[in-house]
Amino acid sequence: MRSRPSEYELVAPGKLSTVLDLLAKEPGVWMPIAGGTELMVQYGAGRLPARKLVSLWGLPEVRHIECTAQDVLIGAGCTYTDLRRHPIVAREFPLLAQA
Amino acid sequence: MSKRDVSLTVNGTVHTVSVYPMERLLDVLRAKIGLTGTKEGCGEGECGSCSILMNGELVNSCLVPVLQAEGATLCTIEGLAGENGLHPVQQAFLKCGGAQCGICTPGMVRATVHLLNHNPKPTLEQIREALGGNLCRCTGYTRIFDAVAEAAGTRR
Repeated sequence: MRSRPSEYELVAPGKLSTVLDLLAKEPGVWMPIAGGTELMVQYGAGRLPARKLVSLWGLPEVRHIECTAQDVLIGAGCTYTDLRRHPIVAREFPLLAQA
Repeated sequence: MSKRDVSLTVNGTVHTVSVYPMERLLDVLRAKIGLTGTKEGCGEGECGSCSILMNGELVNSCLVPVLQAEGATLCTIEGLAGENGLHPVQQAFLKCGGAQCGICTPGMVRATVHLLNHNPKPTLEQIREALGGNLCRCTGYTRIFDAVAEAAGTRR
């Protein structure tokens, strides 16, 4: 059974600070999303329990890959394509880049 | 949740549509904007039939909530053919018989154009990799790969 789009709320504040304000104001109510690769499959099957969603898509602060000598930090807004194309991720974590 | 206006630039034309934010971009393109060239295959991101370009990247439009496409530049299969007829990639698919039932074809063509824009002379391995997200239920892959090579000018 497909989900009804009218039963879901999705907002895209467009600024990280606004997203953080929303999450702080109503803890546990809003689910942050970025893209839809997994989310939209659950949604399509009628199995997405969260009804209030806030989009992180297009926020530059969460779309980054930072590499240090010890760590690789992958932002929540990175796409699979970002990972596949990143030379250090591809070299050091080939299974992640190919996954 | 109520509807709201979302503006999308599709094949160079701005469309403002009244939608629920969680409607699938695929449904909005087909039902609201009337561009039915983009096909629904699986509806869960496995088959690539609904592939379009969103800000220059190939995406499965069945997996994009329409609100996330607000302000984006979208290119669908309808945007390829010009005043002078079919796009060279479409011509190559036609010449090589790279379409059987046709459901996967718009996505295959879009993925091919995207590949050739980034890599004009792909090897067979690179073609297979680039079309890895596009399934053909008729399993006509050999002719599809031939068509890509034809469009790239590398077909033997």
